[in-house]
Amino acid sequence: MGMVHVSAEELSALLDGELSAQAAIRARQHLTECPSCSSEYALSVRLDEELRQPPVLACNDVLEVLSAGLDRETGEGEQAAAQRHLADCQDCRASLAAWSGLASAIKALPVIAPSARIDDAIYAIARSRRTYRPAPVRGVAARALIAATAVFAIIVASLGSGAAPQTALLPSPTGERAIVASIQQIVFNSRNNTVYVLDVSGAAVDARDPGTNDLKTRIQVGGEPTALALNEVANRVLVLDSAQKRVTEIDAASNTVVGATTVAVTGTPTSISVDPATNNIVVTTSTKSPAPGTSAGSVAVINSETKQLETVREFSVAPRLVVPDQQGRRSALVSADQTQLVDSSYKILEILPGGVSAAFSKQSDNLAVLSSSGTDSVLTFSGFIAPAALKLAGAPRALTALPDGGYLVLVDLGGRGRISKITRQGAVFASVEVAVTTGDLIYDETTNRFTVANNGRLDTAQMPDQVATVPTASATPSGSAGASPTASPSAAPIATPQAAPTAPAVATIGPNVLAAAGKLTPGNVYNLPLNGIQPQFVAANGSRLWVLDQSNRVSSFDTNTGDLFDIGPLRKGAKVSYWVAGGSYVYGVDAANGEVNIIDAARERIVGAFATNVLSPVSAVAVGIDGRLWIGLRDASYLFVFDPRTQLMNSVDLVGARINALTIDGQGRIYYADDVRGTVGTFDPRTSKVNEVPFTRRGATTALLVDSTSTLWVGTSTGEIYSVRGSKGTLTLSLHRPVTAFAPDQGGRAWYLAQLPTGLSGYAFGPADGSKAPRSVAGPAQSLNFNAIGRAFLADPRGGFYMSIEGGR
Amino acid sequence: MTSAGMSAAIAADRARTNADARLVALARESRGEALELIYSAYKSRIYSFLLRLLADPVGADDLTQDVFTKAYQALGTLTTEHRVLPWLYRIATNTAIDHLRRKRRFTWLRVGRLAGTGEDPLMPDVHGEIPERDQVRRILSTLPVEQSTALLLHSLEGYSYKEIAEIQNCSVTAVRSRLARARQAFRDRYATTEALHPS
Repeated sequence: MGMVHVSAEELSALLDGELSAQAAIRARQHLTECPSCSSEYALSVRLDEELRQPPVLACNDVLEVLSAGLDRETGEGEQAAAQRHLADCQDCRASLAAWSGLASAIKALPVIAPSARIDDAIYAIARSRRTYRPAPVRGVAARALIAATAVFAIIVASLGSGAAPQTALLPSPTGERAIVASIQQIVFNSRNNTVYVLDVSGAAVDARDPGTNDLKTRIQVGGEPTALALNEVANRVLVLDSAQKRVTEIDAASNTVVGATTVAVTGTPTSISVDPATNNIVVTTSTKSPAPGTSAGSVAVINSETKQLETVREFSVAPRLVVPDQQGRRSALVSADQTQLVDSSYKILEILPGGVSAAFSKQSDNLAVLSSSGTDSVLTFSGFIAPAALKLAGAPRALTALPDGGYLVLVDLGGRGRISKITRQGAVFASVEVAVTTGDLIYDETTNRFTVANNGRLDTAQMPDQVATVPTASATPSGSAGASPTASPSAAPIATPQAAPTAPAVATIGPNVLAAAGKLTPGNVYNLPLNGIQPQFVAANGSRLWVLDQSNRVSSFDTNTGDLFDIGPLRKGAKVSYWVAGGSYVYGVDAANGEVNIIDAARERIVGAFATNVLSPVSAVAVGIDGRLWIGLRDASYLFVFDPRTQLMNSVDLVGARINALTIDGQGRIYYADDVRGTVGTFDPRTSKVNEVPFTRRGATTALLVDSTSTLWVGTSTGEIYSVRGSKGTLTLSLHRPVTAFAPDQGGRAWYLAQLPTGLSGYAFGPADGSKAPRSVAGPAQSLNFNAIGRAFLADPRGGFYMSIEGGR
Repeated sequence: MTSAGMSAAIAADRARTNADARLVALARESRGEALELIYSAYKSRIYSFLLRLLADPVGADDLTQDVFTKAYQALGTLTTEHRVLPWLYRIATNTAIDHLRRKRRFTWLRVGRLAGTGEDPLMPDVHGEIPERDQVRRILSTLPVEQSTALLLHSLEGYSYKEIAEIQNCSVTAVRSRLARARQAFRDRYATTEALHPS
């Protein structure tokens, strides 16, 4: 009898479990015996499994699953779908194969350590902050802001006189009129380049731009704020409220008040400062009407973090002001009756006359104290070699130390103030009268300007300087104390400062230029010979003119003193096309290959030459307020910036712009002229924002300058001078000959330099706004610059300077 | 994984947890010392990670400094719950993203001093000269930073998706997608370069 096979229907029902139990037993029995039906059934099972599989996915949908599968980060279901896709997809199999080697390829990349520069920076943070831990009484160290790149020298100045109602007068411990109010009204924070100015009556602190005095923001602190201090480590500004014994903290990053603490001191707080060694807050206090034999005041040290009082030192005379020296080794505790010079443990080293303020010299161990003497002032010096006391007319108001070792003094002459610059040797170098009679003083080394801050108001003016007239030039010591060996700040015996004036400064070459000046006609123009130096390029930096001569040698001419300094030669074969100065650097740039020669103006030495490899000829250069060099390219829209300190280059893509001329304003904004597209634009490095406005002009841009009113001046090859404000350009002058250069005068107004009209030899210079008739010199002039009192200096490439006495006036 | 391999991994994990706990304790005592320890332990990993993201040795240098400076400031917030290296990677990732967003337009270049000029010797900078698997390096630096970050953390440190998600402050799904895209981009670009350079 033939075998009875299982039908297809039966097989399917078996698979689905739909056969009756008896039929199922019979069917299974048959499958074990019949190869044909068995293979049919197996096929059906597979088909069924196939049908139960998830649908086949597209490659893109399954890639993520495959990738996660590789990392064992998938669920089982997902994995099955992926495997199913993989079985059919060669491309995905190839992907998976490629991926599998990737992790090991990445892992095979070398592990590299950061550079030693970063090691140094991090270890410096790690180690400097070790002193954070509470420590026994430390010195009242320098609150002074002597950061490596600090451009400001700041003082703790004081003011007084009951006649000045806007100053927050404090009760006098002796019941007399307080002449020390110890108001610290202004601090400069180099970390965010902001000056903080106290507005006592407005109960606010103004954050201002140090270059322009523009208000950045106003921070209300409430109460009666009396003094400011800066906590550099925490980047916070501390505001003291004497009446409420409260210290309000402003976070300098956000310029907002972040906290206020009541300080548990006895007496009335009179001043505040921060000890950078310990980061502690130092507050001086005074006690009203102390009983005989008890302390009149104290110095309280408060932990910055916990705000807990760490130590209190009591003094028989209430110090109204703590002035630390730069090293934090000594402090002057100033009061009306006496000034105590103390060491870091507050041991009294010396007692000096009382006064309104004191300042440590930046170049020696000298301390100067400004006191009143009747209705006038006296400046008393103390130190290893101290000059004799100096009497000054007018009531004492404020004092600060200058970087050259000298001082700046503000006195009140009754209705007007006078700022006097005092030399290291204790002599008056120059004076200038100012409208303000009281306030805190700040000196800006880069611009050689000082600012008087008084109750939120700022008055800024040029430093008092003078060009000594011919016969008296030698009586003035050179301003270049930086090069002098007597500049050591150490307490070790140093050369007698009094001997210095007669000895020429190290770098001075030849006789004083002013001594050899010859008067030319017409007008008040002098010719200053330069001892064989033929200036090919001249750039101004403060009172100095930096000269590159016919043999690529650098010298520096002081427009205030007439001294000439030999700096040295550029590298052999250097080719200079642009010569610019700013910050404390002078740069000579080779337009063809972008080579930059750097001179450190502060140290008066040649730093070196750097190949920037900018790949396109240089079309314009300018120096920022921070001393960085900005470079525009002829054939590319990149603006490069070179940092002389780090020797790094950065680039900014001005997308499509072609830079023909560059200049930089007092806030560090870069202005450029693009002749190809007929625009002028600005780039703000702080915000990376670019603004560009169309501005059509005739000719190519040959000169560009921003004046003190933020007007952009554009001079052209065809002789037009335009002023640009906002998006509006105005033609102010048509000279019909190329504008050679622009220069700011002592007040920041723009002047032009251009050849005299055809037929006349010589050069003309005049205000770019045409407000005054131009002046002229009879010979060729390569450059135009003004000194602080408005004398004009024009370099004659044949070997000298023209000096115009009328100059910018 | 073999049982020997497993126990070695557990031992390493335990050792790391102990080291992290000690570091957190040290940070309470002296943040400066803790910073020094963290820096010397992890500076190369953080620097290399940033270097792969940016392909810019000087930029990576600067960001490494930023990362450890931020870490120093945040040391007080570190608890025994934290694992230090992932925490550092998180700071590094955020720092790198900030940097790339802000500084797209900037590239720092090292400027060489001309021979025989000047007085101060320049610190030798050899970073740019170290030969590397150029292609891998180049492709890594062209990926979107979120993708390259995920890929680097996974490949270099073997972090799980969950760990990477914590570092990147995103979901596990996002990590999964980033890794897949990064891998695929690699595969595509490998293919392209191979096609361009048949040799």
